[in-house]
Amino acid sequence: MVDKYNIESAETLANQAQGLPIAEATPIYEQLLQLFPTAAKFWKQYVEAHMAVNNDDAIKQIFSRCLLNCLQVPLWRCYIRFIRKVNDKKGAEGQEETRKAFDFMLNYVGTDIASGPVWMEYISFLKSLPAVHAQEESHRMTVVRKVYQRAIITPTHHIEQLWKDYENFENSVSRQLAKGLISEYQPQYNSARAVYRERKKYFDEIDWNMLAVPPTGSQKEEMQWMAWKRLLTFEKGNPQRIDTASSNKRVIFTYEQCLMYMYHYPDIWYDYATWHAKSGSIDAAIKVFQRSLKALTDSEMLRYAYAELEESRGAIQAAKKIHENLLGDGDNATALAHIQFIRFLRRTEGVEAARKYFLDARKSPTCTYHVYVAYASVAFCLDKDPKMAHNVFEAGLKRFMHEPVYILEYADFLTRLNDDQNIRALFERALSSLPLEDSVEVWKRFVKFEQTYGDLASMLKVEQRRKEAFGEDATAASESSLQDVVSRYSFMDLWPCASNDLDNLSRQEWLTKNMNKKVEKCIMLNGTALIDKGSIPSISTVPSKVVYPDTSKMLIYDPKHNPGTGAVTSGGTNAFDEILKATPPAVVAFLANLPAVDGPTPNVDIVLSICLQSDFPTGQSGKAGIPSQLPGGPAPATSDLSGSSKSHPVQSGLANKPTGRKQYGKRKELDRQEDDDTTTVQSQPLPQDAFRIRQYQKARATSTSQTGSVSYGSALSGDLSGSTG
Amino acid sequence: MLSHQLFIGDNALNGNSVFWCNSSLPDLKGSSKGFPKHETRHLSEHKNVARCARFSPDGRFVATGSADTSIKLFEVSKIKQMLLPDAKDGPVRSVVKTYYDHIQPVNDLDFHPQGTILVSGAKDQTIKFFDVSKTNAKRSYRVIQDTHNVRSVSFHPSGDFLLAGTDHAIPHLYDINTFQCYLSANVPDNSPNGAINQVRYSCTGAMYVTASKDGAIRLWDGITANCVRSITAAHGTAEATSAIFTRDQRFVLSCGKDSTIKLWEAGSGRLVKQYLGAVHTQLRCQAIFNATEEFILSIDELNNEVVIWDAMTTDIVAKWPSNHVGAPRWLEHSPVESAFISCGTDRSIRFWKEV
Repeated sequence: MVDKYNIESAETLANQAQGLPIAEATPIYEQLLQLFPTAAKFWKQYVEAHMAVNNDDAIKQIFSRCLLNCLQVPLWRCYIRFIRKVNDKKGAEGQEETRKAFDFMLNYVGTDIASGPVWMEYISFLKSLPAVHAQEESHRMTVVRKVYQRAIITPTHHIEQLWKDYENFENSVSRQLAKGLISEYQPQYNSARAVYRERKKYFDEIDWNMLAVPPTGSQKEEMQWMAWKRLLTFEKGNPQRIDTASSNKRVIFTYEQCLMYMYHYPDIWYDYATWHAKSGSIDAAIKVFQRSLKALTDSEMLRYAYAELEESRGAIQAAKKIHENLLGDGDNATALAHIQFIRFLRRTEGVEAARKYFLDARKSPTCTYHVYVAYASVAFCLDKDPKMAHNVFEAGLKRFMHEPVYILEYADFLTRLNDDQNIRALFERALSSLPLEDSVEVWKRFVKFEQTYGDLASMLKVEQRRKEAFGEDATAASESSLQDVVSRYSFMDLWPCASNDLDNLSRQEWLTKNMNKKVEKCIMLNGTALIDKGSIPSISTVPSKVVYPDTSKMLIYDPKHNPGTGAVTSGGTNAFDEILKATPPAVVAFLANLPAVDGPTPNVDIVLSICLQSDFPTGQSGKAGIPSQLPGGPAPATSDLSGSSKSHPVQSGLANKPTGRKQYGKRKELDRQEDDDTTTVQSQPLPQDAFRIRQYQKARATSTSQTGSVSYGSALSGDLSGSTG
Repeated sequence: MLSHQLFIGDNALNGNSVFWCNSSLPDLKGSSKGFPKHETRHLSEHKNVARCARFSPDGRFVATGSADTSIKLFEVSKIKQMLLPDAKDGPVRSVVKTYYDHIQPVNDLDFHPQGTILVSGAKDQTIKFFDVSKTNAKRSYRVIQDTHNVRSVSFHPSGDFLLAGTDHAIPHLYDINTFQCYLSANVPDNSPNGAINQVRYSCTGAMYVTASKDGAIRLWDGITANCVRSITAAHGTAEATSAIFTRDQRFVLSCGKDSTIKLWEAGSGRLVKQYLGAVHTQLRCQAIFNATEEFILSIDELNNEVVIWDAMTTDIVAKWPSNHVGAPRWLEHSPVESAFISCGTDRSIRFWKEV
């Protein structure tokens, strides 16, 4: 699909065609223009190829196909050149033709910012017309003046030139009259010129060479889309304060031009159509929709928008036709198309038509449970016919017993009927046939239903049954926990406990679960393993594998002093700061992947101790980033400077804690359990008692004994320590 | 009179002074790929030698620095608009801004990897930060005062750190949030002529490479800043003028005043390939990759040509007249598309784009 619109190959094809004789080039051009019907440059090339061999009929035919869809000045100038050539020798009649062609052209592209030369050409053409009598002379003058007066209020690149020419023109006609006329038009010209300056900024943003391709989401496309949107907003604002009709003409022109480039953007088509509809010309809007459907034959959105417009203006038959088109030949109609058609029929033709169509749609192979639900809700809510709705649901149940969503919808419907007998029966029937993994939501709803409709005994019974169904009886969870009580006795957003209590409860539950399967959990905690599978999206725009400098291993250089001499101080002063920065990418990626936790923050010490006591699948983790894992590398010379063990900058952070904490004035004391979220975890890899530190070191030691290569950095250090990877 | 003007307008439209390059050397061997034809166009003029250029990482902007102490910032989309044969008649200015803030020639430029910041290093021993998103700022908003002539600058991929290569033999690492400057704690024997011509980070920041006047290429560990490998005399006794990593960080491409361009394996320091046939003995010549890293571009000062090699086969696949008066001093390729910039000793900037 995307390949079809390959720009590069299209351009090469066009270049090839340029070198070929016209007979061979024609099919190539036709093929290109089939794909890019709004590519003015291809049309121009095509028509020029015909012009080179004076193929007048073909030229006319091509122009009639492209001109109105491609409001591009160079193409239109090509057209006028052709017209002038054809009519050159035809005398007065030909001149009249040419004049008409000019008028026609300026009517379409006269508001383009690049249309200045066209205006000039027209004026000089008019001036060149022969005038024998004084009467003809004065008539010609009036015509020229009128064109000038249109040109100088059009914000084009050549507006200043045109204004000067106009001044000269008036002065050459009559000095006395000129003064009055010029001072009359000066303000209009001034405002047009001011608008030109603004307008040019918007036009400059736009890539006029772009080919119209379906959006692929590239940045360039987005930029262009925004540029067009800005231009459209600008033009819609009527910056020149001209009359509504002229202003609307400019907006239409801008939309038409925009669609040459954004041909495959449904939003632009839609905006254009709604703009027309809003400014009162529904017919124009309809035409835009019809064109849009030619451009985007597959766009359901546009079809519905179109149908909506037809329906809202009362053209039911037209709207129905669009809906029928959406259905296709019936067999491959989507469920949504069925549903929308049912609803449309119900709105426009009444209960019977909708019912009849539903009965047909039922037989369609693409009819899903959605259609049943939709029709039942039409019957219930619009027709006020609960019996019919019930029948529909019941009929559907035979087909869709295996769809938990259908069951829930049905249950909802019955709830609205207050028919608890049937609801209970429905749940029982469904749960006996649904596979366990599909039944989670149904169970949940069943429990909730009993909490609303049932008595205490039935409530407890259903909860117990649910637990048994999910096999939770193996552990203490089968005993009714306090949380169950909380969930039974809360109502809407009212809770029988404080949120702190809830936090505690969920933390306890989490701990119980995790104490039992801590080994698996810790495997999950290892970020690198996941990174290697590529399953972690990068955190921000920074690539996830970025390696950060560890400035604690470096000397501070104070450029104020002499280089390389005594100006060196220990980098340890903000080693703590640097630990954060030196956090290995794996850990950063892992932290970024943690869910946003509203609830309790686990005690960091406890979590750490769990981690440390478990067996890390180490090796690859953090080698690229944690300085303490590079014992094989060249020995850093910071040890005597920072006054702590070089292979454990973590400890050097500890040793420097007082200074470090000063820099983090607002930060709470380290040894308190903080209630920050992830950043805290990141900043707190420091076990505090001797036992844990030992554990920590042990874990590290095992990890360093293994080699592996995640990134280049580690490959290099491996190389240095003698084990080339 | 009117028609006359119209005619001039038309002329300007068609006489687009676009020079069409033909690769004068067809493929010598069947195995080498052909480098696509480029068109080139004069873009702008500095008031003195144009010394350096850099594209932003997204390829949307390019900046050039000059001996006239100014920096010009271009928007690539506008450059391309300028190049169009049927561009709208109105004048398109591709120069977005010109900064006059240094007091001596500008040596190197770099864009922040994410933000809208441009940094420049200059002979006046400063590194200046420009916010390119501010439309009317003509001056830098932050300055680092170094102790040496700043010859080269390179952002860490996070944008939090900046390396400066200066007349000092050790790269200066700046934390751009604090402006604290760090040096490697473990420097190899100090070479007497170790001024750094170029410093470049690898794309993850795990390593950086320097090319220095003593002809050595040095690899530095991105974490500890220790020099982990020193390829001394990489270019004999001649200056090493440029050194860059490949995107996979496995290789380093260096260029020297001994008229050689060499590809080194970063892990072992082994010489992998040599690209010969272009003479560059005078200027701080750059050897660069194209956007796909399939080709290498550099300059032949003798014939005033842009020379292009197939990176795999080391064959020369094209030699194009540079269109500058005198050999250009700097080449810089767009990271995202087939387009590059050449900066001339003739003060001009040219843009090259695949046809």
